[in-house]
Amino acid sequence: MTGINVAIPKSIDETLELLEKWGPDAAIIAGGTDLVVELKDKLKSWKALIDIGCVPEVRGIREADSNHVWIGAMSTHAEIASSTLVRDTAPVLANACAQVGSPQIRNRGTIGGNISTASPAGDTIPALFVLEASVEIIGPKGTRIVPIESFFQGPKKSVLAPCEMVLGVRIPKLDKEYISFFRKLGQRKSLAISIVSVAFVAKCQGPGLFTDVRVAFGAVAPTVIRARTVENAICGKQLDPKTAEYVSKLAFRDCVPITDVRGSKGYREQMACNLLYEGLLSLLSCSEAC
Amino acid sequence: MTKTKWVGTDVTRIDAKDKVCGTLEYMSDLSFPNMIYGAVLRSKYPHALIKKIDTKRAKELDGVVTVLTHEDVPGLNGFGIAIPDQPVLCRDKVRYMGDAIALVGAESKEIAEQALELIEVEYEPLPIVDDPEEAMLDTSPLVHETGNIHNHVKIERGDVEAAFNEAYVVVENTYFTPRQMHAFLEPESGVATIDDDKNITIWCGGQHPYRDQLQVARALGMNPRKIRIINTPAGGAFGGKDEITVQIYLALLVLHTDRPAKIVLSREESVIAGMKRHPMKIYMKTAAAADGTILANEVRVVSDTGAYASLGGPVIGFAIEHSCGAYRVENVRLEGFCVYTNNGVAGAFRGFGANQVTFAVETQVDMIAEKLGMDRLEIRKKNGLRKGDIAALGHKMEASVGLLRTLEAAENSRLWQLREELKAKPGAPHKKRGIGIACSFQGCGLGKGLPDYGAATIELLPNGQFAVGVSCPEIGQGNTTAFVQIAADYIRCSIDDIVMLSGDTGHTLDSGTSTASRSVYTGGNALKLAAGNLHSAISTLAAEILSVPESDIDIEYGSAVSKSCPEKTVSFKKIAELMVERGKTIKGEGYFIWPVSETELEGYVGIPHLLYSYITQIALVEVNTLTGETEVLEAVSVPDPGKAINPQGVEGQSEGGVVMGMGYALTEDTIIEEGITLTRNFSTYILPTSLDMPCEIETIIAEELEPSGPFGAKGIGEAVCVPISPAITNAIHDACGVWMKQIPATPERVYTALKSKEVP
Ligand SMILES: Cc1cc2nc3c(=O)[nH]c(=O)nc-3n(C[C@H](O)[C@H](O)[C@H](O)COP(=O)(O)OP(=O)(O)OC[C@H]3O[C@@H](n4cnc5c(N)ncnc54)[C@H](O)[C@@H]3O)c2cc1C
Repeated sequence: MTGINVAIPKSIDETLELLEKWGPDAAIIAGGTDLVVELKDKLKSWKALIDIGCVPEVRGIREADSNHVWIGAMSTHAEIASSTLVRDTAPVLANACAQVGSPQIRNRGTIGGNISTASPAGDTIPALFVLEASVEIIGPKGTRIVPIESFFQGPKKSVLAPCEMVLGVRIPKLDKEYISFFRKLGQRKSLAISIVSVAFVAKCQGPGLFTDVRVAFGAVAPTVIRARTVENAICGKQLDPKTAEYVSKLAFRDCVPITDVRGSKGYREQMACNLLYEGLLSLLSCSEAC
Repeated sequence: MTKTKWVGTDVTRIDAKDKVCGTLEYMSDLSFPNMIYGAVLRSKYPHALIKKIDTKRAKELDGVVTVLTHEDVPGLNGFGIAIPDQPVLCRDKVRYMGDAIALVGAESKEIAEQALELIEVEYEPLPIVDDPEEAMLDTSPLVHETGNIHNHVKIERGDVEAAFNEAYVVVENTYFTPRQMHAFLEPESGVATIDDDKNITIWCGGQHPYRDQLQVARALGMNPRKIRIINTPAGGAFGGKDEITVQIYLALLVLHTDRPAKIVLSREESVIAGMKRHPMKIYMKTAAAADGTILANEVRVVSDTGAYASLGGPVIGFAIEHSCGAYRVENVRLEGFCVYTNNGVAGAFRGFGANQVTFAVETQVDMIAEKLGMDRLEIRKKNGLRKGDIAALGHKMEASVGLLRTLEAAENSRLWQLREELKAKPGAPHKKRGIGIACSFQGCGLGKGLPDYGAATIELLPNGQFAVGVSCPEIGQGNTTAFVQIAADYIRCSIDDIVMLSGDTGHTLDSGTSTASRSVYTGGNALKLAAGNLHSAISTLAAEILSVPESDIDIEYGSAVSKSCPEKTVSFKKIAELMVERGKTIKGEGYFIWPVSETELEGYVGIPHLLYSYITQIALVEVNTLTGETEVLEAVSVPDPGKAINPQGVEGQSEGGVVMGMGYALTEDTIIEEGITLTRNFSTYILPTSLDMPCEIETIIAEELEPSGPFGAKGIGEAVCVPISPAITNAIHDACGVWMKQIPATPERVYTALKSKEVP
């Protein structure tokens, strides 16, 4: 077997140079938890890998300004899940990261990798959707900022151009009035790819009364989606368990799932509704808190 | 019963330290200088004729040492425990995606894999058959020229029609069970060497070194004595390494290259080429009287053995033997078919056909109890087998029968006693809790009509220790620790003075397989005989040393003593010293032949059994009615292993068994569509993880001593993973009212069942 070159750049500029030099023959490797699987299964082959583990510009979780949190692309799921800043200002993301894979995968896998893989089942993505995050992309022509919802174009397809990379994500902070949940349904309790996942964020105006409602689903369409029909139905309505069940049923309207080895189309549609309903139920039972 | 010092106590496993410290090598860790790496070219189609095989380009690749095809198999180009119907390297036809066509030996694993891509094979695809019932039709494509039905078992007793007519309740259902995967830690792997005299040594994961030796010798056309097999314990087996895996390929590589060779299958290759549990479709119609007495059972099982037989024949026989559960049923009509398809090969797997039928019959029994408004434990106690009863095949339960003991212990368990209380507090209103119970029996040994024997050696070593040899390999179940305990109590020495040899044709006599819950019973009995012979040899020398007649010698722990003059003693250590001085050897061999049932079923081998282990298991589950997810919260496992040689070992088997049976019930299935495996690895083949484990598994050992067993032992390796599966599905019914007739009871299946219950 012919070997594969691995470059370990020390800065973002060096990384960009390497990306330009190799073009499509090279891939960025972050945690490698998606990429190594593709290599092993010979789904793809590259002449070179660019390991961004030592690039300081893609590391760190910090306040970008008083209203935003910035998470470097190289941040691992474990780092994000345990970050106090994220847990305080974007708990839905911390929650999603805590449910990725297993401890080993969370220690290696990164948010940049999760986004760039652009799987409709990527677990951080529904959370980033409801947080209305933006993706910071850097390339030969400088940086650009893309709203998360515009980043994905299909399964494994994104707006990233060949010589570009993800620098990090910018997340508007949520204040204390917001409540949220992330729930994934897998085939087992860990090391499970989502059959369906749901992320929910809303401003709690009192028990069962939500505004600024944002709902996103994973694994029910070619990309993660915002479920606007359901959002509108929940927004401003006084919910009790009965009405929550009723509105949750609208979730399927935004879903166009497929059948695969993990679940059928019909089951996925119903689960989108039921996971949302289950989440709403738990919010209702503890919404005295808001 | 003889007083024991070691048997019945929790002894630290003899392999614990090596396993914990990582010094016990996996096959992938074992290497020799100048070693080549082997890789196997598998078929591109599930069913095709081979028109041409061209290895020229592969041979030219730098670093390739050899490329072998069917032309290079010197002996019989076939293997298979029951019948050698699986080609070592296919010549003219492939029957499944795992079929081997060529074998490459190269300087590195990577080169070997690259060479595989350069082998050109011309195929002519044939129509495939992937459904066993379709395969039984005359119009079906033939997997083998001999016909697609490999084995047919039919047993009738009593008057089934009359019983159905007079019955108070009749339940009739069709069940489906999955293709479970052994999922051992290390896939099929091994390393081989060859010396100047062409003696071959093969280290590999395996379950019967002497049969491996025979199968390798047959394929090589060589004297078996020139082949030494060492089955190594790392990696596990569960029945999946009972058949030949890589042994013949290794032997061919070393024979053709004169260099050591190694083959380690990837998980993906193991999933496609390796054995699985037989998927079965089970039709069952069961009748009971108003008082719960089971009157009749009609059973039809169709079992998918895939492209080759392996042990598919005996598995269907075993399934039929166990298809009425551990109950007295006087009227039976039982029929089983083992059928070839172009799917992956199924073979031996812990439980050996009992798992499938137990799922069915234990569901039937719960349905009957529900219809009669009868307690689920009572109906089992009422019909459960007792010593002297006639079981389904018409054979008498002559050996120890501990079923009732296990049921009673289960009844007294905390989980059963507190069941209503525990069920009353689910995690959320849409979550429902239920409790399920199931019991079963498990034939031990190979059964009537198959040669089933054991042999053991004990030799006094110059340092006063004893070398104990039983060939049944350690595959993780702890049998070698049990052998050490048994040997120490028969020899009457310390367990620290035993050097255990197993799994090696070079150092042990043939004791048969480590399968069929048989190795402790077999090895233990052979050790008992060997120890007797050893004691005679010791007594001869001791009598000389102590100047007393041989008949005056008694053996105590660690020494020989004069009965008449107890102050006259000589330690084993001293005896060993004198043995060396006098140039003698002191050893004992023991040969044991299994007792068999008196009942002969004409035309069948492997059934019935004489000896059974028994078990009752309970599960507490919580079902999420919004998603169909089932969580097993707690389990109780009550095995009757006969004497528990090492109680901690039994607990280990019990806990592992519960989790394996839970995976079978809830998540595990190797999905094959049109001959192509869709669940290629552990990403989609869903094994339970540590988070899916029940919080608590309580094991209560209910010993019903077996007089013919070593210190009363039977076997327990398999039963522990069997009734837990229907206990779980019965608990799902108890929780939310749906009967799961197909396992695994995935969230989607449970949810769908719940939905169809709502809208009839
Ligand atoms: C056993 C297992 C379990 C898993 N479970 C889950 C799960 O539960 N949920 C889930 O969502 N995912 C899961 N995954 C998938 C994977 O772990 C995640 O998607 C992870 O976040 C990928 O990150 P990484 O750093 O390992 O990416 P890598 O494998 O390093 O890269 C993935 C892809 O993104 C590209 N890339 C990486 N970083 C950048 C960047 N900064 N800019 C541009 N391109 C980049 C790479 O070139 C590559 O194409 C699992 C994977 C495995 C092997």
